[in-house]
Amino acid sequence: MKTGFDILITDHNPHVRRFIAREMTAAGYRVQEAECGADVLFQVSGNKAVDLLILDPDLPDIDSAVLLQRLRKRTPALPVVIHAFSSDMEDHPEYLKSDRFVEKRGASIEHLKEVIQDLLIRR
Amino acid sequence: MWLRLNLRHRIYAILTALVIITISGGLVMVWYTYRMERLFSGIIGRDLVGFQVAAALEASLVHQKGFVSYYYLDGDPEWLRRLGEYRQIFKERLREAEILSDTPRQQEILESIRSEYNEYIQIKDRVIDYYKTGQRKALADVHPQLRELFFHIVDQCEVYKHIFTDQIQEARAEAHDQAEQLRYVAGAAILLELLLALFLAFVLVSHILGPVRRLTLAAEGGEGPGRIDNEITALSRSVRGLIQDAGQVHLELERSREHLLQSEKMALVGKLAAGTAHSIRNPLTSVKMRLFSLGRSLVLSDTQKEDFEVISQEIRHIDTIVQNFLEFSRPPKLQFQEISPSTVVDMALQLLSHRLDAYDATVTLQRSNPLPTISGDPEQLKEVLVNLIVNACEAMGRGGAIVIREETAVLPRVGKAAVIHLSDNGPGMSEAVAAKAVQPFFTTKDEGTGLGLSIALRILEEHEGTLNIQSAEGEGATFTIALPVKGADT
Repeated sequence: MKTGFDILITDHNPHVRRFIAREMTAAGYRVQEAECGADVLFQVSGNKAVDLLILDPDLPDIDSAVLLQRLRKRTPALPVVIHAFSSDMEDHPEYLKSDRFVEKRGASIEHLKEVIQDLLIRR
Repeated sequence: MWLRLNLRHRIYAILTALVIITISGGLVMVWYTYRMERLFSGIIGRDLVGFQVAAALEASLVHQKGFVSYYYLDGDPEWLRRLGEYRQIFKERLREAEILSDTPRQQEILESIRSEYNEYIQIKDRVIDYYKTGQRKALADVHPQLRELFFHIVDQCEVYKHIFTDQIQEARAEAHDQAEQLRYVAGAAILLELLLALFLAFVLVSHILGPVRRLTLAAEGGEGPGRIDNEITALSRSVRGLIQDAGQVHLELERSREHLLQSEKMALVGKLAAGTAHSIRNPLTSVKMRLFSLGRSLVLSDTQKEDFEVISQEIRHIDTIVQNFLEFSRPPKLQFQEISPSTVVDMALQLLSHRLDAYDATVTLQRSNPLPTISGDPEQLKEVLVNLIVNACEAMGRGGAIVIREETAVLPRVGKAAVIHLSDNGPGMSEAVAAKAVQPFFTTKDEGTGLGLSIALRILEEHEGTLNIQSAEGEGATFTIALPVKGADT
């Protein structure tokens, strides 16, 4: 398993965020966390750029559509994995149907790990 | 003033005027007959008798003429006797006339007649003496005086008679005048009554009969017979019809208002459900993740394992409830396409084949021809059928029988419709339960959310269809789905 990648984990529920961070760290990734939209946008465009973003766009300070648009514009090359409820993503069918969408469930962490590994190896 | 009166008072006013005119006309007539009677009785009682007496007086005087000449010619004393008779008659008549006379003029004339007559008699007697004694010379001297006196008395009698003829003429003229006046009054009354009657007729026609007729024609909507024999009967019939119609409209309005209220309630409930579900879902997911993590690493005893299983199971149950809430709160975006409901039935049965086997349920499908195509979302309609079939299985327990019957029908609210009857032989439900079954959050199951039938009903309503439940306790239940067939003529 290739290691040494930086992953940014974004979820407004800190317990979910920590859990994913713990799992990803255990899998050998370096992780950063963001709790709101402003935080995400700041960290992806900072000096210490990340290799991948795990994102639940349901954040308190920004509309999901706006956030996704800004990310596409500022960091078009950054792979983004959407980890969210499918019902929240009905307005963005392009993500819902892509292989970078992971439905948020109790056991979704395993699926998330597989998707991330695929993406980073492919690079 | 007239315009300020209402219709009823106007009619009363006209009727009162008519009655007053009629009664006063009658009173005038009665008064006139009294007056005429008095006039005529005056003429008959006084003037006519007076005239007769005057005429008789004159006649008895005129009759006295000639007897002395006859006596002179044949010397028969009989002539003198008859002269005496007439003198007696004249005196009686004169007395009668004096009794009847009541004006000074009459009395004056009568007085003059009496004195001149007395003088005449004296001269006449003297003349008779002259005849008897044969003094022809004296006779010739007296005769002219006597003749003159006689004619003067006759003239006086004539004057006296004329007084009465004048009075009679006067009374006749008076009667004529009064009759003329009365004719004018009667003519005016007739004219006035005629005008008032015309006015009354105008008011009745233009304010009552005309409007009633128009109203009747309008109320009958031109459907009734062209000729209306009795407007009031026709109108009361129409009004009764209108009252019935209004009652029906009121009932429908009540129903639609109830429906609207129900819709508003549903929308509110939906919002509440969405908010609640959204808030619960997030921490619940976190719990599920940690539970999953725990499950991977934990080594548990049997009892601990059982506890863990129950916790997991109950959390899954909560998750289902939350999912249902969300589904209920978000109206599904329907993707319409032309499809036969029979195809949807087949899809649902195929999807549920394992579940039906697990329940050991037999399904009998009664289909002569596939149902006509409708415009609908197959996925959503399938969900409705799945929901109903699963409900039936859960109600029947193991070994139940489901009958699905398809038909086309024309229904009152839907029109031409594809109809699916889904019957089970489960325990059924009471009328009260059936009525509440489609209300959100109503459930009789331990693990139900009470939203399944609500969601099914909403999906059908968005297809402009209906869902009916027929059931009695212990007799199973029949759910009837009706979906309108678009493009049908009726």
